[in-house]
Amino acid sequence: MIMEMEHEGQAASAFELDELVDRCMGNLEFVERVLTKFQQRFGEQLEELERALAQEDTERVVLVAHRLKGESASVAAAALRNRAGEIEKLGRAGQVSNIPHCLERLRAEWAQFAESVSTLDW
Amino acid sequence: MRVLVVEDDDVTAEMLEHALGEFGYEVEIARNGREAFRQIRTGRYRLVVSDWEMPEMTGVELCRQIRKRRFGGYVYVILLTSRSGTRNVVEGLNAGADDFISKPFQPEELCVRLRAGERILSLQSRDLTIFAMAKLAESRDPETGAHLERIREYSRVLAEQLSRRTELRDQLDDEYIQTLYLTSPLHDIGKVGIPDRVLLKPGRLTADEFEVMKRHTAIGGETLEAVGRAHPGAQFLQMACDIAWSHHEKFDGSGYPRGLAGEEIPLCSRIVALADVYDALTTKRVYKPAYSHETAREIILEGTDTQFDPAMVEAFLQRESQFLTIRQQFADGEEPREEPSTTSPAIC
Repeated sequence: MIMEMEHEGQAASAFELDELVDRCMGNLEFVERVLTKFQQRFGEQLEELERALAQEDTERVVLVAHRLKGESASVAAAALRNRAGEIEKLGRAGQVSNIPHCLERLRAEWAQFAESVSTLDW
Repeated sequence: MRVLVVEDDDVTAEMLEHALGEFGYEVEIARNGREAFRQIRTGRYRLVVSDWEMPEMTGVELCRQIRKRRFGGYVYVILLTSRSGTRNVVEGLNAGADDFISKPFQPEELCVRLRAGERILSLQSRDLTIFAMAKLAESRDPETGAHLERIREYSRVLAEQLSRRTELRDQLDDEYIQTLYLTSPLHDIGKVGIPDRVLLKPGRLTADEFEVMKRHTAIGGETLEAVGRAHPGAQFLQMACDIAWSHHEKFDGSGYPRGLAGEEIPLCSRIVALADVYDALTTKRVYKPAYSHETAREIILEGTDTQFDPAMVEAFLQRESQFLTIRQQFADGEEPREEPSTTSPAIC
């Protein structure tokens, strides 16, 4: 399961701007606002996820991972969506010991995403 | 139109609000199912777009809670979910969801599905408007009470019984019966054109006055015909028109306004004719007391083949107990409690 997920994560792109612009009805100002909010929220939720993991609160891990997956999908960040989805799946399956590895991959994807966004020329 | 978006994910919630705002909707956001349910209880929302997975109350549980209660009108619920598979769809539909959209949402898909929801809701508004019009037409006459409520119930019961006849099964499908329920209250809508001196006369009408009163059938029929010509897509108007025109026709051709006979009289009119007479007989009027069910039954039986289609009378006899229940349930005042005759056939 882990290897399949890793392959899926690598295949997905960091960020599809066109898709996000469509979802924001072509409003670039709104796109910028969404990305700013997303980045702020993502950072906060990542910390919440790590706290939940440390406290062995699997229910909370699943809830936060699910939310991260949803928000990532909304902003067309497919790789982040997939990584968050992996964590959610592992949490639901009770395979908590595999989550830290996925969390590392999630952080790596997050860094890549942040860089993609920073290079956008508004 | 107002939409309630239920989403614990801030970013998606804001994007949904933005997209729906662009499509002309007024959007409020609730962060979980419990908060959403409090909002829905205010009665301000008929359209809901809800995430599935949320803390405190999931979207599916929210659907279940919504369907357990009445909010003065239907609440159309679209579930927004990344879940797939038949099992999840079945779970959502079982809980009462009307539609699904996959996450991440596509604005245009969301819009067309909400528009579909609005069409469903407008049908309910149509039904309420029709009944309100009928009640308004009836409101000048202080004696009629819950006449319209009883008429549509009697008509539906008769139609359901008649639908068991082989020769009527195809015609009397669910849609026909539902349309009959909706349009039978419009049978006397033409009375708005009858002057007070005739309509509200506290005694028996003279021959001339009766001729004036009879015109309510043509007034109602012609009005509904004109509306039907302007709106040819509104098929329920054809049935309403038939009922308004012909609910006083008699099976032997001695009725009014056009002296139609037998199956020249539309089926819906033959049904409403019996329902209308039964109600007139069993309710108090200024010129007569309320007759007992037994007396009404005898009068209706005497009218078989002359006033009433025998098939309608047979259906009435087979559903007497339901007629009594309806009469009690929608009573205008104190009515004698009665049981159906023991000599009537107990065929159901």
